[in-house]
Amino acid sequence: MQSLDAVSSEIIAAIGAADNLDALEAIRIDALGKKGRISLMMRDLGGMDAEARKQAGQALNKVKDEIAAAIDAKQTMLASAALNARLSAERLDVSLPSRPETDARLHPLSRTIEEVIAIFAEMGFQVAEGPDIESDYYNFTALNIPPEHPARQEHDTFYLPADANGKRKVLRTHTSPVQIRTMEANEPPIRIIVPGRTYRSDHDATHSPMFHQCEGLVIGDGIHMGHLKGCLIDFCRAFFGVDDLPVRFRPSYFPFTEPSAEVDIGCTRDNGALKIGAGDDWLEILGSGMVNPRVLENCGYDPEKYQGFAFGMGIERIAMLKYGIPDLRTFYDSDLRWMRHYGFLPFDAPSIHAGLAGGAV
Amino acid sequence: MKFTRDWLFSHLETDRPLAEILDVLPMLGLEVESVVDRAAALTPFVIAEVISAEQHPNADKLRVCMVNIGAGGPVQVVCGAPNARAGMKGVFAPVGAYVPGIDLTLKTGEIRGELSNGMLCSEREMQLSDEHDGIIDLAADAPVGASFAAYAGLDDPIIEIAITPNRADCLGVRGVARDLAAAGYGQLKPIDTSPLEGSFDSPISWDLNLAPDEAHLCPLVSGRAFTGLKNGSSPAWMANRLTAIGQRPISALVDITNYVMVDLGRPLHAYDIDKIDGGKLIIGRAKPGQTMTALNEKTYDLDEDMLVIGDANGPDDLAGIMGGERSGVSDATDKMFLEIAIFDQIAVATTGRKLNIHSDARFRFERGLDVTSPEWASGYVARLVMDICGGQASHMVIAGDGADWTREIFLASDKVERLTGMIVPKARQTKILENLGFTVREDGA
Repeated sequence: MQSLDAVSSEIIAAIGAADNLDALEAIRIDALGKKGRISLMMRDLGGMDAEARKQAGQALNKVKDEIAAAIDAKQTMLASAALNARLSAERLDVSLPSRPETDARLHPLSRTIEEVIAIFAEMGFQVAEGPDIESDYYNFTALNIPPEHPARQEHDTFYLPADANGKRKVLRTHTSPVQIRTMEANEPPIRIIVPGRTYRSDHDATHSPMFHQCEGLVIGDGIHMGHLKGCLIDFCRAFFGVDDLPVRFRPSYFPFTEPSAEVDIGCTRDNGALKIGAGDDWLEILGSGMVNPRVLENCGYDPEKYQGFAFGMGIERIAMLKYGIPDLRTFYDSDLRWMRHYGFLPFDAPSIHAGLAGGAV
Repeated sequence: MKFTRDWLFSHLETDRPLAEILDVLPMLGLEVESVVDRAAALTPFVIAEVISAEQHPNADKLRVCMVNIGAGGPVQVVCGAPNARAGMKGVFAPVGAYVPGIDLTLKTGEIRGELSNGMLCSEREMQLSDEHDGIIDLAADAPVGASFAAYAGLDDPIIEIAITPNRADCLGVRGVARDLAAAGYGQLKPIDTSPLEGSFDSPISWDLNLAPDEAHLCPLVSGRAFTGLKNGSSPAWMANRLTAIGQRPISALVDITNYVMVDLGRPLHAYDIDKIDGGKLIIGRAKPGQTMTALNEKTYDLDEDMLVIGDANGPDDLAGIMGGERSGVSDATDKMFLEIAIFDQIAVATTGRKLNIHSDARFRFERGLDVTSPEWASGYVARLVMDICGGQASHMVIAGDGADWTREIFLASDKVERLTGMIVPKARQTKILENLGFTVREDGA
């Protein structure tokens, strides 16, 4: 067995050589831990006679104190060295300019759809969706548009190649097929809105081959044109943020509604500038009507029992009007400068209480 | 569809101002797309007489004119037009007038030392046409001092309305007037649709070459021959109306067919009798391999799905879409055969789409015509032709059994309130329907 002095000097030497806190801790455990070398020697004291124990005990305590003191001193030194190293490693020049901001922006079409959803959600509508590639039946026939009807020509439709049965699917020309799909799958009452992509073979300054619509459908017991008017007047006023916005319902024609009405909002045109609100002119923004009994029958509803209304609007159009975007084509250009100008902060979610105007930035 | 205010009022007796009419049209489902008042920009322009036109002392190409503008004394104007001369009537724009063609408000000026107090205008300066060879040279009886716009018939605003696919009845000016009358905005003026007894037998007859189960492709067609016609220019009132709606006047006979199409929503087709071979016009399906050159000077390949009209030389009319070049009328036509037909809407739409021809006739045929019109329009149109072009009319020749146009529609009068949420008393519902020309009877009666 080594002499106490030898052990002591060996440990003191190790402490001196330790170059980090972990190594120092290992030395402490090896010397003073429960099963450390010094601790074990302390335990051996019990087997000695009183005199020897006293002498050995004193010597051991002295060594133990010396080692503890050496560890403490080394620890303080190492901790301070580590702190210095960290401080110099994490040195920061607070006078440097900040890094460029790289926040993403939400596309105005996404924003507009969110606003529309927020308003109708408040009125108890749910969002429904359907496929972009539709059968001829859902896109036309079920909606009371027979094969040779003039209304079918107004839809310059993208047809897909015929399948094995000679049937040609279409890229849906409106979101209205979702009306049929929803009614087929559900029993009244129904209260849905359907935002989505639609396609027509038309491409010029004011038409895009792909654009967005939002459809609405309310079916129930005793739903009448008064409900349609109230619902759409509320929507227009909330969406454009004009409490006294005049809204006009003008008789029109759609094969899937009867009677049908187009919805105009009041506006003023002054030197090419358009202002939405009470004025001397009107601006068309919505199509609407009472669901044609034939459409109800096509979905297996009894038109004597249930009736309701439907409406549809172009998302691009209302976005352009609300946010003063002058050119339809820019929506699809993916121009980052345009997005930074017209886009929205993603966390600025529209809601009725927090506001729908959007913190355009 | 376009028409002018006076054109509408030629069918509608009303004391309502145009503004009220324009407000109610959208409420009848006839959306007003635009109203163009051509006279608004021409208010200051008056008819004037050039009293004297002297050579400008300091400019070879200018003349110093003294102009009588009806009120006040003569006005001195320096004018550069080669046709300015003493005694002529022209159009005068006074100082202060805005001249749209040169985008300038006139001021008193001095041109090379001579005072000029206004301007004698060309058509281009008033943006009426591109004509700029000289100043406007009006007829000798033009009233000096009067508004030029009124004199030229330009004080008749042009109205354009959008027609939804369900409103074929309003593809004619008379249909719009009928709707306004039904809405309580005036009385529909009567037109003379009585039969016209001709003075000879038509040298052309119809041959409906359709299988019995295809009779619906042409349920009714009438025709009438005219001889001794003088096909000159159409009268000013007709030419002005056609010009106003953007159609170029061509000749009296062509203009009459275009005019009646817009006026009554009733397309017509005129053949030159001298160009019809065999004395018969055959209505039937084309044969594969046949071709014809239409009035748009394009040649089309026909197939058996297409309904055509032709003579011994083959087809020369795409039924309800466009006539053929071979047998159409020309300025020299003095014998005409006029067709008034009903064709199947789907057949017209299908053929039109297949050949990619968009015509005003197709637009009306495929939306549906008054199936009784071949009979009632025959006398009306014959009188119009003879009023304008003289000559004699034959007896009417007619083929087909007609189509059943009567419909019985059950109206549950309580449904109105159920659907609209508005109470419309039964008596009022009945009155509205009767105003629209329905016969209303109680169920079971």
